Amino acid sequence: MASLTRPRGLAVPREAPRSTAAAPPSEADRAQSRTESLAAEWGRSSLSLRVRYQEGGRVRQFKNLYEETVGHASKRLKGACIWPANGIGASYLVLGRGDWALGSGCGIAGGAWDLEMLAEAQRRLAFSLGQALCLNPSAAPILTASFFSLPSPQGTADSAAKILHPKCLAPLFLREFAEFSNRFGVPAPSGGVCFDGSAAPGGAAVIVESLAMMPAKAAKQRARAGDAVVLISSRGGPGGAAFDEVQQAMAQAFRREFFYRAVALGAGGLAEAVLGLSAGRGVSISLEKAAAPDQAASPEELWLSKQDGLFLLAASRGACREIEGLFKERGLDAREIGAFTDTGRVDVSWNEVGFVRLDEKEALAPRRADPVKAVWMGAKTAKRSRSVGGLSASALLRALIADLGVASREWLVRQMDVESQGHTVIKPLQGLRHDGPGDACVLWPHGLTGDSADHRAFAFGCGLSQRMLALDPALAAAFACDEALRNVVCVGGDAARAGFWARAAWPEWREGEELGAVARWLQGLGTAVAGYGVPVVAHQSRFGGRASFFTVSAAAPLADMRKAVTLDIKGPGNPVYLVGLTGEELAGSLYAALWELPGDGFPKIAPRQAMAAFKAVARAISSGLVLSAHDLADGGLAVAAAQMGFSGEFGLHLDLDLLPRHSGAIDDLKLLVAETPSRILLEVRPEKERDVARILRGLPARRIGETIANPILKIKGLDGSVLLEESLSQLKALWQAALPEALGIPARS
Amino acid sequence: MRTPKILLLTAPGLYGARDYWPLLRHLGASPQSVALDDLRAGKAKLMSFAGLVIPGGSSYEDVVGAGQILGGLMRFWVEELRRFIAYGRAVLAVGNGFQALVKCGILPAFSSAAPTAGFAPNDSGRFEARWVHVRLNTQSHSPFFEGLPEMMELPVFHREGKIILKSPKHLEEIKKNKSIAMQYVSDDGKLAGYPANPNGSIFNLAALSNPQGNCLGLMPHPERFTSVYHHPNWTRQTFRKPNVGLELVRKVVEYAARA
Repeated sequence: MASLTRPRGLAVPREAPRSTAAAPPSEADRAQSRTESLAAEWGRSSLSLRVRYQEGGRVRQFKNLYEETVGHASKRLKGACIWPANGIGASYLVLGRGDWALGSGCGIAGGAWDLEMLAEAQRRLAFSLGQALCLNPSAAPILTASFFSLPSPQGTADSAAKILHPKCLAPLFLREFAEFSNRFGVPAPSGGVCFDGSAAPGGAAVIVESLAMMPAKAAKQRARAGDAVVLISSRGGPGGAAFDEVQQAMAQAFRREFFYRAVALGAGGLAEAVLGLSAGRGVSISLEKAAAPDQAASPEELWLSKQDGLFLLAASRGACREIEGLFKERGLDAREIGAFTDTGRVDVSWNEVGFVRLDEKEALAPRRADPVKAVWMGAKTAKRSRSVGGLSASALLRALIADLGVASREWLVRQMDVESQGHTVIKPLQGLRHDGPGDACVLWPHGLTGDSADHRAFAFGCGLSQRMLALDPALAAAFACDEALRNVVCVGGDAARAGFWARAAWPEWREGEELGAVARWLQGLGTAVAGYGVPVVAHQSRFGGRASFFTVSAAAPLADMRKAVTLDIKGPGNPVYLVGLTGEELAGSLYAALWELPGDGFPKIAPRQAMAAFKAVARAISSGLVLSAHDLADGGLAVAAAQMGFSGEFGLHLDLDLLPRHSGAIDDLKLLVAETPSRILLEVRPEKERDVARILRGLPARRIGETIANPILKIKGLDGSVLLEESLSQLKALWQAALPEALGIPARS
Repeated sequence: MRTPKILLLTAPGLYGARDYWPLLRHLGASPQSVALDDLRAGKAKLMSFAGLVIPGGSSYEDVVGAGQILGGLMRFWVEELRRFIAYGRAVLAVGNGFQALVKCGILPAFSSAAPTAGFAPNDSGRFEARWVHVRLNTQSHSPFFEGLPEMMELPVFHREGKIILKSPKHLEEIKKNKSIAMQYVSDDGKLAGYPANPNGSIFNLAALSNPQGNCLGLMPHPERFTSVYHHPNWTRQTFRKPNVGLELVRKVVEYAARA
C-alpha cells in the first residue's frame, strides 16, 4: 500500500507558499501528494511504466512497458487509423471511408463480492458512458458492453454467508445492473459473464466498455491557452435521466460552438479530470469556484474526492455565460472554474492562494529512478488427476454444453435493452426463435450518419480467456484477441480494418510475480498486435481488486451490413466447411478444466496464418457466399456445431476424418473438444461452393460435412463409425437450463 | 402532402425522442422537440401542432414507477390535451409515454377524469426485452391502422408493462367502445400466456386508443422496426418481413397532415 500513496520519483517544483487560514498547510500538502499519486496511478492504469522484467534467466529492461510491448506495435501498423486523444485510454478507430470514427470510454470495478460492488459497477457504467460522450464534442454513445467476473455458484460452498452466495446475490446483481444500464438509452448488445470458480474467493470484477461514434473530422481539437474551464454538474447524480439532459445540452452547446472538449469526472475527481482536459497544455483552476453554493466541502475534497455525474468542458473564450444559461434551462449547473494556460502546469488555487502545483510532463512521464520489478516464473500446467475414461462422446458433449462457461445467457440478455437507438441489426440472441447464441453484434448507425441508404456498419465482439489467464497470461491475451477477431469476422466484419480495446482488472499492485503476470500479458497482447496486424486502440488496467480479469473487444467495419450473417443453420443440404487447423492440445480448454486433465501442451496459435483465414472468410461473407458462420471456442467443434444446429433447428452431419488437423492428431475425443484457436465453421450456399473453395484455396479449410433436415448432430469418428448422435432439441434444453439452475432462478417458459 | 408540425415531447430520460426526431423528419413531418417545462411556461402551444408524439424511455429514471412522475407532471396539461384529442389531432404515445398518458387519465378514454388503468411490474418480475407478435383489433377505428397487416411483430422493452384496469367493468367498456388497439398473441394469432404475453397484461392488452382511434398508446416500440434489417430473423428470410413499425408511424404522420 505504501507504494500507492507515496510514489517515488515524482517530485514536482513547489513555489507558492500554502500556509493560509483557508487552506491549512497540512491539507495542501496532502492534496499535493495525492495529486502526484493520482498522476502515478495514471501511469499504472496505462501501464506506461519503467520495468525490469525477468523471465527465467533472461532479463529485459523496459523504459515504457506499454509502449514497448503494445503501443509502438499498434502505431507502427501500416494503415492503422488510431488517433491519440486526451486522457488515458481514449483514442479513436477511424472506420468507414475515413469519415467517421469510433472511440471508447471504459469503467473498471474490482473488489469484494458484495452489494457495494453493484453500486461501484453502476458508477463505472455511468462513468464509461460519460467518458465516451466526452471523447469528442459531437460523440454519440452508441453501445455499451459489460463484462462480469463473478464467483461460480457451483464452486461456492452453501455454507458461505447466505446473502453473498452467488445463487442469492448474482441474480440480483445482474438484474439491478441491467435495469440501471437500460435507463441510459444506449443499447447493450454485447458483453459477457464469466463465472470464475478459480478467482480469488469473495472477489468479483466488472469491466464496462462504452463506444461512441463521431464524425472523424471533428475529433482533433486541443485546448487553447486563454480558453475557459467549465464545470457541469447535475443534481440527479450519475443516472440515465441526468445523463440524457447532459448529452442534449452538450450537443446543443457544441452546435453553437461554445465548447470543443470535455471530460467526465470519475474516481479521481476534479484532479483527474483537469489533468485529462489539460493534456499537457497547462491550466489554472480557482478551486473555490468549483463549490456549489450549498456545498460545504474542503478544498481537498473538492479537488480529489470521487464525483459522479460531473463533466468538465474546455469552452471558447467568452461563451461561459451562454453555456451557463443553456445548461440552466435543463436543470444543470455550469460554472467557470479556471482557464487554460501554456505553462504545461496545473496550478490550483484556493481563494487566490496556491494549493496544488503539478508539472504535467514530469508527473505523467514514466521517469522513475528505479524500475519496478516484474518476474515471470513460467507457464503453469494443468493438474494431472481425474481420468475421463469411460465417458462417451455424447456424455462429454452434454456436460460441456451445460457448463456455465458455455450455457445460454438468455436470462440476462432478455433484461438488457439491446435495440435502443435502432442501430442493432445483428442481435445477441440469434436463430429461428431468437434464443440462440451470437458471436458478435452488428450496428448500423444510419440514424447518426443520417442516410438510410448508406449500409456501412460495424461489428463488435469480444474475447475472454479466463482459464488460460491462470496458466499463461501471454497466451491468454493472444487467445482473447483471436476470439474477439474471429467473432467479428463471423458476422462479416472486415478483419483487416479491425481494432482492439484491451481492459483489465488486476489484484493489488505488487512488484515481483504479480506484476510479472501483467507484463507477460502485455507482451502477449503485443505479439497479437504484430501477428494479426490489428492495433490496440486503447488499453486500461486497474489495480486493487481481488481477481484478475481482462477482456479484449474488437470492432470491425462492414462495407454493407446487408451481407452480415448469423450463426444459425439456414437450411438442409448445405455444405459445412471448417476453416483452421485442429490440434489435440487441451491445456486451458473447458474439457481439461472440467475433468482436470493433463494439459497435453498448449494449443498452437499462428496469428499471421489465422489472419489470412479470417480475411478469406470475411471476403466469402461479404460476397454473399456464406449462410452462417460460428467460431469454435469453449467446448470446441462439438459445442459449436450443436449451437449452430439448434439455433436454426436443422441438423448437421460431420466427419472428423475430413477435419483439417495438425499431423499426429488422431484422437477422436480430443478433436471433438479441443479449443485450438482461429477456427470458424461455415455453412455455405450449395450453388456457390466452388466460389467458396476458390477463396479458401491454400488455407487449412475443408468441407467436413453438410446440414440435414433432421435436427440431430451426427459426427463420424476417424474410423468411420458414428462417434456421436444427439438430439439437438435435448442439447438446447440442457444449454438453456444450465444458468437458471445454477442461479436458482425460474427456467424460461 | 403538407408538412405536418409534430410536437415531440421531451423530458429527462425520455430518450426515445432521439429515435423519433429523425424518423419523423424522414417521414416528411416537421418535428419540434419541446420540453414539458416549456409547455408549462407557455413557450409552446400544443394546439399549434398537428400531432403529438410522446416517446419511450425511462423518464425521471422511473424512480417511483414507470411514467409516474411524467404522468403526474403532465396533469397541468390534461385539459388542453383532451381538447387536442377531441379536435381529432394525432397522438402517439409509446412505452414510457403510454404509461404517462395512462397515469394522467387520458387513456383509456372514459368520461371520468380519474385514471381507470395503470401499469404493474411484469409478471416475470424483471425487464423484458423481446420481439412479440401483436394482433391489431380489426374493429378499431384508429386511422393509424389503415392498410397495416392484422398480425405484426414488434419489439417490447419494459419492466412495468402489465396493463391493469380498475375493475372488470372497465374491460367490458373498452371492449365495447373499441378502445383495444392491439393484443399480444402467439405466432399463430391466439391469445397466449408468457412469453407471448411478455408482461401478463389483462386480456393480453398491448395498446389502447380512444374510441375514435386518433390517440394511440402502445407498449411495443414501432420506432425499432423501421427497417427490414431490424427484424431479428432477417438473415434467414427469403422475403423480408415488412417494417410495420415505420408504416405505423407513417400513418400517424399522414393522418396529422390531413388533420
